Amino acid sequence: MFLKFAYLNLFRNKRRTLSTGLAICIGFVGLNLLGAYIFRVKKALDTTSVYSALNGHVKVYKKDSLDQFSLQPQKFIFHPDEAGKVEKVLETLKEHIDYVGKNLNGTGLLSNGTVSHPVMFSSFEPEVYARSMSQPEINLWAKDWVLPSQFESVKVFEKNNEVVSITPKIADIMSVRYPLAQNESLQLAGRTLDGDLNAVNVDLGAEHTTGMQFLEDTLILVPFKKVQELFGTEGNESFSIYLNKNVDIKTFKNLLDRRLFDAGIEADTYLYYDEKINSVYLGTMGFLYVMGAFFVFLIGTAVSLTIVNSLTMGIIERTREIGTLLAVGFQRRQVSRLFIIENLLVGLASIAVGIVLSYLIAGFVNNLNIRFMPPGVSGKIQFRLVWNVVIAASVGIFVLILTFGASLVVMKTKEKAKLIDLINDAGA
Amino acid sequence: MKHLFLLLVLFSAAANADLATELLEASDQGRGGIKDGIEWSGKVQTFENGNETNREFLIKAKDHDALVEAVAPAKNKGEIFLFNDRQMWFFKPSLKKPVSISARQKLSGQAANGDIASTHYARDYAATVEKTEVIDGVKHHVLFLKAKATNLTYDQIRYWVSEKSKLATKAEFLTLQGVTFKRGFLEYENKLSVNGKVIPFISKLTIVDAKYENNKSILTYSNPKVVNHPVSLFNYNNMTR
Amino acid sequence: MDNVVEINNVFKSYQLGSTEVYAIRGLSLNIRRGEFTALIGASGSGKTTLLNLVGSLDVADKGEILIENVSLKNLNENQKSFLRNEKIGFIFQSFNLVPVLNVFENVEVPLTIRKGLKDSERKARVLAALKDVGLEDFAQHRPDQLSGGQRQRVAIARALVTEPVLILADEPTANLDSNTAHHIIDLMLELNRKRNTTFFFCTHDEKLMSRVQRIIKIKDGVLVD
Repeated sequence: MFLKFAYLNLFRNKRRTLSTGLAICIGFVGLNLLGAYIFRVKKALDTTSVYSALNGHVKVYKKDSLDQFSLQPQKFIFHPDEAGKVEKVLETLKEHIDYVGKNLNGTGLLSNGTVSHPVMFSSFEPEVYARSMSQPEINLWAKDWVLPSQFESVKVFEKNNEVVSITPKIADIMSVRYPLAQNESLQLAGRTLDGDLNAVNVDLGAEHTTGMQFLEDTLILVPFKKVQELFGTEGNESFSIYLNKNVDIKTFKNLLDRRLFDAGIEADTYLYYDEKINSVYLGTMGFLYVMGAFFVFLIGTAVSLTIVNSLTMGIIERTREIGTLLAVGFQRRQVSRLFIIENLLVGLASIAVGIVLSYLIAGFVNNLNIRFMPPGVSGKIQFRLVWNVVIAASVGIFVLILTFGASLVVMKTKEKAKLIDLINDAGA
Repeated sequence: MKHLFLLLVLFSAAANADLATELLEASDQGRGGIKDGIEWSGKVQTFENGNETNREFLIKAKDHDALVEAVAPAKNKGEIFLFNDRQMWFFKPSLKKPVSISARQKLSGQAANGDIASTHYARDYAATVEKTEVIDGVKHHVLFLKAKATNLTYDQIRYWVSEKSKLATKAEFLTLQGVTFKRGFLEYENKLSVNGKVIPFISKLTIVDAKYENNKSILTYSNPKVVNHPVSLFNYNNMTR
Repeated sequence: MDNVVEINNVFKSYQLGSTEVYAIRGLSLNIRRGEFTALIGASGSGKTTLLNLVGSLDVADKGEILIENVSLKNLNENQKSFLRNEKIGFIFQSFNLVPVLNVFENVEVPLTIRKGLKDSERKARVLAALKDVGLEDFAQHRPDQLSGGQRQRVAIARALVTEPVLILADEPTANLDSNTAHHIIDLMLELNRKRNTTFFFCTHDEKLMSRVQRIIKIKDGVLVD
C-alpha cells in the first residue's frame, strides 16, 4: 500500500515529478559518463605503466637505488650474484608471477655519425617485450597509446638483437629514412658504470611512442644486453615483476618485501603507480580525481537542491493530507517514509532511464571518434567513454543515497510541525 | 674636454682588450696552442669519492686540430678523440661510425673532454683584464674570459696570467651564472723547442672540484715535441680506417 | 453505561499576538458509550478546540482527558497515533480525502498501518464500511468524481473502517446543502444504532438538532445549560 500510495503520488504533480526526475537523471548521466571517462583513462594508464612501459606490476631496486644509482651505479646495481639471490626469492613466489624482466636504464647520445642527440634509454628484453605486447589489456585499453608498429616490433626484436626502438620525433631529429631498417647503423654513446665514455653500434628498425610529449624526443628503447655492453656491466638496475591476473598487487608487494628481507637482500619495491617511479600516473590520476570530485560536488549539490526544493513544495501542497494521515493514526516517521519512498521511486526511475541514456551517449560519442590531445600527451587520443556496470551501479547508489539523504533532511525539518496546524492548513 | 675624456676611455678599453688577447695568445702556446704539429703524452689521474683511476693518452695536435689516442688502461686502448676545430668525435675500433660528442662532457673525474687537447682560448674566448694580482711575488693579470660559442668546454673562465712568463698559472671555471665550479692550477716544467726557440710547456694541470676539494683530476704532460703531422691524420673520414 | 470520554476540568489557551486567548476554561464532560452527542455553539465558542483535544490532535494546558479510561496526558506521540488508529475515527468538515487514491483506497488508508491484519480481512472491512455508507458501487471512483455528500460518506466510511469506539466529527455537514446534510446525519444516526458507535460532533446547524440524542452547548469555552 505504501509503495502504491507513493507511486500514485508521483502523478499528482507530473511536471514537478518530471523536473525532479530529469535533474536526477541528468545528474546520474553526468556522473556516470564522468566515471566512464576517468575509468577509461585509469585503465589506459594502468596498462601502459605495467606493460607498454615495461614496469611490471611491482619493481624491485636495490635499497636507495632510485636516488643513488646515477651517482654510484657500481654500488646500486644488482651484480649477477645479487641478481641471482633476488631471482631465487622470486622463484618462491612463482605461483603469483606471470613473468619477470630485468632493466638497465640510463642516458647518453644517439649519433648518426653527423649529429648526436641526447637520449634517455629504457632497456627491454625481447621476450619480455613480446609477452607484454601480447597482453589483451593493451588492445583493450591502450590502443591509442601504442603505435601499430609496436606490435610488429616484437618480431623485429626477436630477429635482430641490435635493434633499438626510436620515436617518430627522434626519427625526425636524426633525419632517418623510412623504412627504418634500411638506415645504416647508429651509435649509442654513454658512460660506463666506471665513468668512461663508451659507445656501441645499434640498428634501426622499430618505432614506438611514449604517449608523453616531454619524453617523445628523448626516450628510446634499447635491448637490455646492448645497455649492459654500453655500461660495461653484467648487472641490472631493477626487476619488473608481471603478476598473474587476479593477484592482489599490494598483498604481493608485502609478501615480496618480507621474503627479500628474510633472504637478507636490501631492496626497495615499488608498485607500478608509485609516485617515485611513475609520477605521470599519479599526476594524471590526481588531476582527474580532483576534477571528478569537483564535478561530483557540483552535480550532487544540484541534484540535492532540486530534491529538497521539489519535496518542500510537495510537502507545502500536501500539508493537510499529512495532517489527515497523522489523525487517522500514521506515525510521523511513517509519513516521512512515504515521502522518501516517493523520491526514491523517482530516483530509481530516473537512474533506469539514465543507465539507458548514458549507455546510448557513450556509444554515440565513441562512434563519433572524437580525437583530442590532452596536455602533456603526445599525439591525439580518442575521447572514449567506457560504460561500465560497476561505475553505473556505484553512481546509481550514490545518487540514491543523495536522494534519500536530501529527502530525509527535508522530512526531519518538517516533522516538527504541530499536528493541529497541519490539519487546519488551508493550502490544500 | 669632454670628447677627449671619452676618447681616452675608449682608447684604454681597446688597449685593455689588446693586452688581454696578447696575454691569452702567449699563454695558449704554453698549452699546446701553436701552429706547428706537436705531440705529447698525457696522463689523467683522477681522485673521486675516495677512488683513484688512471688513464693515459697520446695527444697529437696541429693548429686547431687534435687527435687523442687512449693508451692505457688496456680496455680503453684504441679509443680515439678527434678535435676538428671546435667539433669533437669519439671513436673506438668496434664502432661503425664515430660519435659526435661535446667538449664539455666529462672525460674522467674533473677533466672535461676539452681539457685533454691543446688550448685555443685566444680563439674561443673574448678576454678582458679584470685586475692585477701578485702571487708568490709575481705580478699576474687576472683575465675574464667569455665564451664566443656555445659548444666550448666552459662558458666563463677567470684566468691568472703571469706578466713575466706570459703563462697561465691559475684558473677558475665558472658556470653561465658566474658560479665557480672547478679550479685549475698549472705548472710549466717541460720545455719545447719551436723553430729553434725553446719555450716552456705545461707539465701539470690540476683540476679541483670547487665544492669537494678531494675530488680532483691531475693531468700530467710529458715528452712534448714538435712533429710535422700530416693533415690527413685529423680527417674525420680517416678515423674509421 | 460506561464513559468513552471523560473530560475533567480542562483548560486550553492560544497565544494571539501578545494576548492569551482562552478557548476552553475548566470544562468537564463525560460521553457515554453509544451516545450520539452534538456540541453546539457559535463560531469561536471553543467547539473545534474541544474536539481536537478529545481526538488527541491537540494538547490541553491543564486538566485531564481520558479515552476509555486511558489518560491522554500519559501518552507519547506514537502512543497517541496508535490510540487514534485503534479507538477514534475522524470526520472533517472538508472531507480531507487523498485525491490520488480511489474511494476504496481512501477508506483503506487507516488499516494499512494496522499490524497483523490479513489482506482479505482488510478488504472485507473496507467493503463493509463502503456498504454501510452506500458507496459499494463507487469503490473505484476518485474523490474528484464524487459529489460533496458522497465524499463525506467516504470520509465516514474511513472513520468507521477501524471500528472505533468514538467518532469525532467537526462540522461534518458545513460544506453540504441541507438535503445532503440531512442524509449524512441520518447515516451517522443509523451507524450509531447499528454499530453502537459513539458519535461526538460539533455543528452550528440548528436544523439538525432535533435528530440528536444529546446536545451540549458551549459558549466562551465553558458549557452552558
